[in-house]
Amino acid sequence: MVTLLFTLLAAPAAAEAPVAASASAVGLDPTPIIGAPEGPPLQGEALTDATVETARKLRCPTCQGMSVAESPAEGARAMKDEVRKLRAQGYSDQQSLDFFEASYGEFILLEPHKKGANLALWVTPAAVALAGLALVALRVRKSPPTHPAPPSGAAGADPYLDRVRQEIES
Amino acid sequence: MNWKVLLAGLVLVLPLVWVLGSGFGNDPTYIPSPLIGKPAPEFELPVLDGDGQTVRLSSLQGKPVFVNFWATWCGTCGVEHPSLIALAKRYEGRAQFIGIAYLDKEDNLRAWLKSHGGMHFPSLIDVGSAAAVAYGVGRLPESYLIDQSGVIREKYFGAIDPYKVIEDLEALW
Repeated sequence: MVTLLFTLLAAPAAAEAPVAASASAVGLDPTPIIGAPEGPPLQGEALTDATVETARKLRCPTCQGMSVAESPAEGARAMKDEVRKLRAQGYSDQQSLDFFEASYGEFILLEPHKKGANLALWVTPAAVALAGLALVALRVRKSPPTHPAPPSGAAGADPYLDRVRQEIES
Repeated sequence: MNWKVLLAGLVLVLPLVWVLGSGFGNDPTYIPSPLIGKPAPEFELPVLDGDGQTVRLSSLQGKPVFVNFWATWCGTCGVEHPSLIALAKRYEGRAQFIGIAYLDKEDNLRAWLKSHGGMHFPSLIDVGSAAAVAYGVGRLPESYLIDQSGVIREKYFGAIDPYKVIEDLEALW
């Protein structure tokens, strides 16, 4: 590593190009990613409810199995703020989820899409339960019929008892 | 031995063992980025100590841009910083290196940079963390290589491997 750094530092540098700068900052525009807002702008309680609705469906990337709505992590709070901005502009729940999926991938959705290989998540438990029920039904059907056992004291029930009884009576 | 029971057990257990076994060697924190091959999200952010100046990503088109998300509270960011400085010097004028400070305070950033070899490329302030969200930043440090036409070519998780960055950068010319 030290050698590499030395080599890099010693490499000839071309003339420095200045970084372009302007006077005002602009926010990130979600329109190229998710299009125009589908709903009316939200505010007040409706905005809070909408923010929680969407944030509950997003995974906190730095937590273990927590949603953005539940997580106290700073990163999750930043994501929640972004959700709030989107919902305030009128972006729908699905559009907001699409926005996050576009940058983080499907990993960010707490409930993955019900398609492709993901279907196994929904189908497998039901299939295993059905297979278990079928197995039990098969075993019950195949087991031999049970006959009522003779009373324990009756003659012929137990050869050992019969023999003892005979010896006592003789 | 009941071969039927053994077979049924193997049918149930082997796929599970295969699924779990295939996970060995994978980094559980690695999340493939859906942004690779797509246009880099546009941003315009203020420069740390830039007297109100901002940097707009689209204004840098024409040469590769290396964007590094970092913070003073991120231990690994200190580990990779010397490599970033060296790379920025090596590619000065041919590629633009940019730091984007995430969830941090300007005073902390200044003090950190002073104790870690100074600022050799612009560090921008991610106001409201909107840029980090647009780039899908999860765990710091994370970096992106954007080509001359503004398309994301690579995402680096954790401390960068400078050899890999050189390889990726050289492939752009």
